[in-house]
Amino acid sequence: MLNLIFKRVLAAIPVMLVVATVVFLLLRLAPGDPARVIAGDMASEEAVAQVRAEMGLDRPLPTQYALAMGALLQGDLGSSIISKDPVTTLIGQRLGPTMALAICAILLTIFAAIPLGVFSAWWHKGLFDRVTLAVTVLAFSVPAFVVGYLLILAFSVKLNWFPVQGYAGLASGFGTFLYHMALPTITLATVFVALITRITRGSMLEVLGEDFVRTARAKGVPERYVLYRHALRNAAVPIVTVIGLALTTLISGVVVTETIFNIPGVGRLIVDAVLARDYPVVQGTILFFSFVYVFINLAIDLLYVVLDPRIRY
Amino acid sequence: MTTTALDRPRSFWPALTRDPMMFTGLALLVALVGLAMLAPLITWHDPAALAPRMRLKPVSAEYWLGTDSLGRDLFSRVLYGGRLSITLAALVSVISVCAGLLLGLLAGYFRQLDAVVMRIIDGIMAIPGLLLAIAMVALGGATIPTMVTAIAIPEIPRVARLVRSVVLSVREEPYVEASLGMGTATWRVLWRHVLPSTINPLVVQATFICASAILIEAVLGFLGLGFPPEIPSLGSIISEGRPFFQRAPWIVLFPGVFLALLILSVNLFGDALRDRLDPRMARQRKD
Repeated sequence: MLNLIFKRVLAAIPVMLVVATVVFLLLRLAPGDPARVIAGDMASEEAVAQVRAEMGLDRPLPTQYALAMGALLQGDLGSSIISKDPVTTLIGQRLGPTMALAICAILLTIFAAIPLGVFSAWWHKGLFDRVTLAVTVLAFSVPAFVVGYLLILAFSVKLNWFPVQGYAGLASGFGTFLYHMALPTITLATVFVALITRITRGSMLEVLGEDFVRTARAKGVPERYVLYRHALRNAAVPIVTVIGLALTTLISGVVVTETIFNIPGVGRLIVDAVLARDYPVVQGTILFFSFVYVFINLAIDLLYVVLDPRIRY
Repeated sequence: MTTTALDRPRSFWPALTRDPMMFTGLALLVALVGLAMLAPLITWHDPAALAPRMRLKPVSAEYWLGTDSLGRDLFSRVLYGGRLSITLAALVSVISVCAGLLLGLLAGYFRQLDAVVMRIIDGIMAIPGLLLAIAMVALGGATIPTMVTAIAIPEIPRVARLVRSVVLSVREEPYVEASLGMGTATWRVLWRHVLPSTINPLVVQATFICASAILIEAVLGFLGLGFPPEIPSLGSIISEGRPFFQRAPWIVLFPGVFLALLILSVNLFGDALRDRLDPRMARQRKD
């Protein structure tokens, strides 16, 4: 097991190196001059040159690259141009709301999508299955901000059940937390519930046709056990894989959802940094999100061994 | 065996009438694309014409979808915005499919290149596409070339992976080996034997890229990073309507609904195309 963990971690290193290089190069090679943008439209040539020197943008590209990678190895993502705070501090301050939102959305997805997918597969081609399938296609196509604004219009503006915007941490009480979290969670989770329902359904349909399921039924195992103990356990690997791969979509969704509901999280941080042209923060946040993606997929790789003892690396 | 007959394009039209999902998708898609492309003929208000006295007016006979905060006709703005979104999506699809095809063919066929190209692709796929697009648009400004590049780059790795997997399976086929054994030039084998097998999955992939490009443009607009307000795009209309949401929710909702319908129709059409054109995927999803 230790050997396996070691091998997987080793394999993730080149991916992270490529991520860091791509983000570095894109922000340097993209059209537009960060120094000029930061100095402002009215700035003189000297002022632009000074900003460029301050940011180290006047040095040759390989030097800049080496410096950036060296800093990254020490866990330094650079500092904000505006507040001068280290990017890691800024991310740390904003991580709470983002984690809360993401965890709520993932929990809602698991508790809604897996039963929906299991029952659709069980009542294959029945009314429930067809309705679920149609709703998931629809849910998959409606952008998160449209879902968010429809929810606000219905439940905040008309019914006045939930606040229009804002965030309250767990510290202010679980009830208050849920009161503020309900609409953002549904907004973020809609696409995932649709996606995971379809994957669960497809994966279950395949497994339900297998011999061991027929054997279990023939032995008189209660249907509930057949579905959850025998079938779902074997259908789990593709479901977990998709949850991992869909994380980039979740991260994009976090950015949009935090903007709609004005939640002070890392997603808001990147949008604010982009609007304020705070490039180190933009770069640092993208790197942070990409590393999170790599780490979680690494964890999922390791989880396979638990889910399916047949998988050995 | 009916599969061979089903794979032929001429059975496309009878299939259309049998498959309600595909029929709905295609009908909706044709209607929306038609409305958007013919926007100058259909609308009677200039999408940029300001009418301060008519601001935030609800739906009426004169303004079918109401007006926005500057009194501009929302109906014409949504249609012109849709036209821009569709054009952008088509450009993104073509560019990412071409670039991905080239990379995928190279990686799949030339083993030495494979390891390098695939590591780069894994790296790019680990970066959330929307964030990459946000950063590029923020630097390059919201112009059509930057926008197209910013949305296309995150899609290229997906296409390249798909093409590579097709190439890897085709190159083991006896007819490819035979052709190579007879001394056919490599580029000719790629062109005659490998390329044709990638077309069906690529057509399917291209429709999904269209849906995703339309969405990302809208999200960029929504976040305030899209095209400037003079150019109506679905994203920028929604973004401008946000401050007035409680007073005039239609400014956000109508372009939102148009957007959702557009993406829905592309997705429905893409799903149906996949079932028809890509037997491998269709078998996986076999109901």
